[in-house]
Amino acid sequence: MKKYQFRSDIAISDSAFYAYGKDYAELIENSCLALTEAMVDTKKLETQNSKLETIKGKTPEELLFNAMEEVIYLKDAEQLVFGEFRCKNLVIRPSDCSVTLMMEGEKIDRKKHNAHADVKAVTYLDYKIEKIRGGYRASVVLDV
Amino acid sequence: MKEIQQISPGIYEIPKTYKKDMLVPARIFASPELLASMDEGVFDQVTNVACLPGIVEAAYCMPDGHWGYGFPIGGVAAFDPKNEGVISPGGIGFDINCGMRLITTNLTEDDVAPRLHDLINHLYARIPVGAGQHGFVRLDKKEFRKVIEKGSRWCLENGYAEEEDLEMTEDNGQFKWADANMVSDRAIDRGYNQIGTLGSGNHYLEIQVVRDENIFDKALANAFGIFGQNQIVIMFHCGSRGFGHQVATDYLRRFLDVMPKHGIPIRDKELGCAPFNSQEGQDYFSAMACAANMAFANRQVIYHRIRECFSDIFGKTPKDLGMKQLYDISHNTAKIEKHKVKGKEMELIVHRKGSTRAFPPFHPKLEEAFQETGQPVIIGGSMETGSYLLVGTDEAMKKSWGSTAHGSGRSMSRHQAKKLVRGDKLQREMEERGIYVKTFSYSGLAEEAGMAYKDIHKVVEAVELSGISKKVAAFVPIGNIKG
Repeated sequence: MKKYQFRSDIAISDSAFYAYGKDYAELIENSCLALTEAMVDTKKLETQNSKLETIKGKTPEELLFNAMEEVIYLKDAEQLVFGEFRCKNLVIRPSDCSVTLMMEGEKIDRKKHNAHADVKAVTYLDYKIEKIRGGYRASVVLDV
Repeated sequence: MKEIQQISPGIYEIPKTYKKDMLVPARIFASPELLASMDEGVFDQVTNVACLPGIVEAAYCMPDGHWGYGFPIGGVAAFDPKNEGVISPGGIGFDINCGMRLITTNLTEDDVAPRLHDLINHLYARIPVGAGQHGFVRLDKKEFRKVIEKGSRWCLENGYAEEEDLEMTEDNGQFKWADANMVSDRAIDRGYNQIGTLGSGNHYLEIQVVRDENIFDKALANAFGIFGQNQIVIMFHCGSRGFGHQVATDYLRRFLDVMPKHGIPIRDKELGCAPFNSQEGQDYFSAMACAANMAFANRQVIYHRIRECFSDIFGKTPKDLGMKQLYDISHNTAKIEKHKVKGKEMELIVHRKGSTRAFPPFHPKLEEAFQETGQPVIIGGSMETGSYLLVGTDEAMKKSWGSTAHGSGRSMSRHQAKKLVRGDKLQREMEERGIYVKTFSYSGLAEEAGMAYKDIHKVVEAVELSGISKKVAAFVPIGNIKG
């Protein structure tokens, strides 16, 4: 299963992708990775900084939304971008979802990381998680 | 769409019978050609706007309209606060007070051409562009809270502005109803490092030339300090950066939670809203003003840096270079304005998202300098096509709540543009055509190729067709910096 795929059929002024995962944890990891790839070349990221954040949401959709929002927040607040994401302690319960998101990356260096866009928000446009064969697919549109 | 009918030159209407729950019709300002090329999302979104509580007269979309979040880009709508009228972050945009600033000089192309590369390179070195950049104004969070309440006035108090800069800025660069207590710590965290950053994407700083043949109204142009004869002007486009986006995200989330309480159905999450007179509505209006002030301050400090750069390169003071701000105007805000509705004056909350205010001569809210001319309207084209200066009209007040277009409007996705265009090749081709572009990202440059945008000349023709603004001059780009 591929991790993500960028789209050109929607949100012409911004960036959009499908992310995939065999389970919610992998879906969150790959969505965060796709979001980062929208900004920099993730293959050029080293693991010099680590962050551990607890993310919460009332639904899996909200949980994923908040996880991606955290990535954007850290990019602006601490100038950090991450190439590796790992979900631990994922809990999916009605009205009570949470995950510990481990992020490995470094301070953004636009030359080293080939920075090409500045993602500023996750939007609700066409935002959804769908069950597909083999797992899940998230549809995400980012404001750039 | 068969339901859409022309109602007057340059204005098309979708009747309120088109969609259940529409309270008013939707009106699209466009030429036949621009209308035919508008994506379906525009019609869906503008008719959704027409369903919002308290909307007055119609939901509008400007000729550069395209699919956005909630409202289309190019969307305009006014709501009556006394009749459950709402405020909606989707009607303002994530990038609150994204806007334009235009500066005139007494330099000509002959003065600048020999030093153009030096000038552009110097501007690029001194004004941070692109993702993750730290602003050149170093603030702590406590001081940033003052900036977001004072806007350009903070810049004046701290040596980044002259009084005349504020006089030539919408609302003197300060929305006075801002309240920093209405802004989250997360928004502060994202924004306090970003004063003095241009951003990326379609944000830019451009050196432009005014050719004689591009002056359309000599009297108005001269009144604005535009004289042609290859005069150099400077235009730049940026907004409230991550700070504004976080404010919008925070309140959109909050509104979605309270819409059921207010009996407002959620048709589209990006159209989240709350009654303007509710606690949530008022809190957002104050927070939105903070983001607007941040953008005013951001553009003001960048202008200050531009003055320094010009002075460094040409060895003269900004005053001797004739550097004067013509105007700074937003294209993403909501404001309380008085408008005539069926002959009666009403106070409305006017949302403009990717739309520029265009007030006519003698409007009481206009700066003294523009009482006789009407308000300057700055419409930015793509980096390859140039931009326009227009002026507001009485027709705009009658037809579009005193609003007009803001830019070219995209016609192709960023992803598609990158597939078709190589940024390094585009840069070389543009230089061969006399436009020197300095950018960090070739990928980002490809996304901004002229072919990805509507034709700015056609957008301007369309606003003239409906009379909502009038051409004054056009500007040809010769140098540009982008993130």
